Amino acid sequence: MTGKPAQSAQAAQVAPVAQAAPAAQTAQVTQSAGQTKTSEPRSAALRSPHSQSPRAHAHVHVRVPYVVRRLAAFIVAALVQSAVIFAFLRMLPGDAAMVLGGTTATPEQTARLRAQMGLDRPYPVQYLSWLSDVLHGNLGVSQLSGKAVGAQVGVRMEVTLPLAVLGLAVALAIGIPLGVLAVTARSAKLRRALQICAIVAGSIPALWGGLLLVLIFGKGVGLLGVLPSQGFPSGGWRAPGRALASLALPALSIGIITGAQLLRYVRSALVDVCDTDYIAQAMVAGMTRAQAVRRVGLRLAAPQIVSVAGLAFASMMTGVVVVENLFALPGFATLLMNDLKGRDFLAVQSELLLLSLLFLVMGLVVDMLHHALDPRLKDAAGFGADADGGAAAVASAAVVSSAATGEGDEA
Amino acid sequence: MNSSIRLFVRRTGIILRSMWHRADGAYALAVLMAWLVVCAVSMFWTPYGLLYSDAHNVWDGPSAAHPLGTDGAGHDLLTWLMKGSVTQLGIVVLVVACTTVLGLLGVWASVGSHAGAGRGSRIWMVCVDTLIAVPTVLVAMLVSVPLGSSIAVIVIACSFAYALSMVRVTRPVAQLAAASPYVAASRSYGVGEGRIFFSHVVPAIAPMMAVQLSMSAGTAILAESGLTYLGIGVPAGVPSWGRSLATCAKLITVHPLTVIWPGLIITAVVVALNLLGDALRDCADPLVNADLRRVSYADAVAADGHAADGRADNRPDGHDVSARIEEAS
Repeated sequence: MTGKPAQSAQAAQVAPVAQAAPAAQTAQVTQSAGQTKTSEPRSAALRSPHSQSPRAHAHVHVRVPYVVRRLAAFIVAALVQSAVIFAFLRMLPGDAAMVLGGTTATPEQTARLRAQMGLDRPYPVQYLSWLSDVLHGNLGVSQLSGKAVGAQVGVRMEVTLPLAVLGLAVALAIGIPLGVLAVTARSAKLRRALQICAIVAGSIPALWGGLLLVLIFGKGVGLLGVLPSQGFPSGGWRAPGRALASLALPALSIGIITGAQLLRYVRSALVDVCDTDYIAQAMVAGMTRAQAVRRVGLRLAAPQIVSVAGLAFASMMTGVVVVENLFALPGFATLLMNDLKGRDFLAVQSELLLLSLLFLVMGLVVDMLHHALDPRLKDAAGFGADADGGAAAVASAAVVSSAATGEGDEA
Repeated sequence: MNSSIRLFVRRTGIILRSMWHRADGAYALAVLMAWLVVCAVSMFWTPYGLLYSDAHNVWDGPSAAHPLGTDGAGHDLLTWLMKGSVTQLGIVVLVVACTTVLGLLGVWASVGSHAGAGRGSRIWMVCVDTLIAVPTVLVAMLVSVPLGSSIAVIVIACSFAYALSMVRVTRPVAQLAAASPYVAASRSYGVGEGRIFFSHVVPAIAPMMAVQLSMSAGTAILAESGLTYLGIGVPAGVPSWGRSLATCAKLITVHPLTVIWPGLIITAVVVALNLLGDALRDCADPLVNADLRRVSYADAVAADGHAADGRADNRPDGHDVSARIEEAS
């Protein structure tokens, strides 16, 4: 990848063909050309963006593989987030010792508690010892319940993780097929109706969506009382049927909303792809338009869809917290909210770190998938340090900006 | 300066008019106007006071005295929703303003217009790509630790997340603009970096920003309702749509009808803001909107004092509009 400048430069000239908008094409090429050589003053690169060939500088750099760079970014981000979380929790007046001691503790008792919990040490020392504890798998002990945070989180995750995965599954099951249908349907009315439904369903607050579902399907209250609307079976997953049933309504309420948002992005990504020659080529080869979109278009749009799905997952999180609360599920989010309200900061600190790590890993996986699904990026990585991220950004920008086009972009 | 203000007003007028002629734009404008009217009215008049509670008619359905019913404390729902629209408007305006400022700072950092900023801006973009995976609710929880439940939590968490996504979305266009010949030309005349940024880069990304901001406003309303329900958003006792929804949600099984209204209003307004983004994108784009193109040309020429002498079309520095038309052709 790094040793073949000529080949990668060629790839750069081929790659933008897939970009729908002419502006996006130019963006990618200039970007790559402008950032070829990092040591060069940027203004020099900008001076003649059109005359400067990517070929001229491509051989100067030894490129670090994308995976390594992305992993390094992940580690740095995780460290920064842990520091931010630690700092935020220290910004409060008072500390765990004072909370634990309550109003009746004498200053001496508070001081003793503080020494017991190691809170009298300087902040950097506390931070480092917390970090090393976490790295050794010790998340600390909850001040409220006296239980190990790690064990508590493990139990709670048995509810939250399936909920999030189910929600994402519902979202994908709605977003992708209907997004394809919104492009391939013969009837213009159906296409328009799907778009309107997507906009409306994507604009529903998760709380309200959940309430409406309870009113329709909730056992005892709903019109069709078929699914439980409160709580989680005490046996947990030992009764898989009941556990799944109690997660159905929460997962549906976040999944439908996220799925509707996903539908819009899938649709606009496909509309962009439809403008390319690949679809025309496939149709020349004998596919119908719908077939071409399903077989060729979906594959071409796959990297963008993966990226958007990753972001949708992150944005679904507010919904997850809300529905856990609404449906009285003993999940991780409920634990976190309770600890926040109970000012159990030692637990909150580890829980927040875990949650943010989860999302950083998610972002990492999505970026890797995006990279693996788009061979153009692999080639592009040869000459522009940022060409990969840049291309991804161009792609997602194209999706987002064309997601906004309501109509008439389907020639 | 005066002429550029006039130009701005005329262009805004044309954009609004062409939006009004589209179905989605008309819906968006109508709903948003209604919102503003309700805000204005509730400043001077509401059916009841905020603290008024009708203890005999708790959880009442719609009636003549309470058009939308009452909640568990006997508060008139219509009053709370009307008052809530003001809070909501304040939150949305704050989020949009903070997102704009943070987003522009982020774009500035990602474009890195000054010499030698290449490495810094790349590191910054890696940060953006990494941080964008952090959900709003997580930031809100973190911020709520020192701030408790407050509107500031919503504003900080939302504008943080939306600014990041704005930076990511607008970056390619911003970089394209920063690498354009007219920026190089301005720089060779000795124009300062700040001025270049605001007169060349910002106009290039302004349409995308408008769409993003409009959608962010919608998402901010959704976030408000979620965070308020969780108890880290709008504090208790302050009216907002999310607060009404959260109050009504408590006894949904017994009194299902009350919960319809707040959710309906939130959905209608969020749909309007999303459609506003769609309509704005088409109507504010001179490449799509012919009326705008005509006026922009004529006024740009007049505003710069180049009375139509035929040279306007090939001026080297180029107004942003003519530059974009050249780019597209």
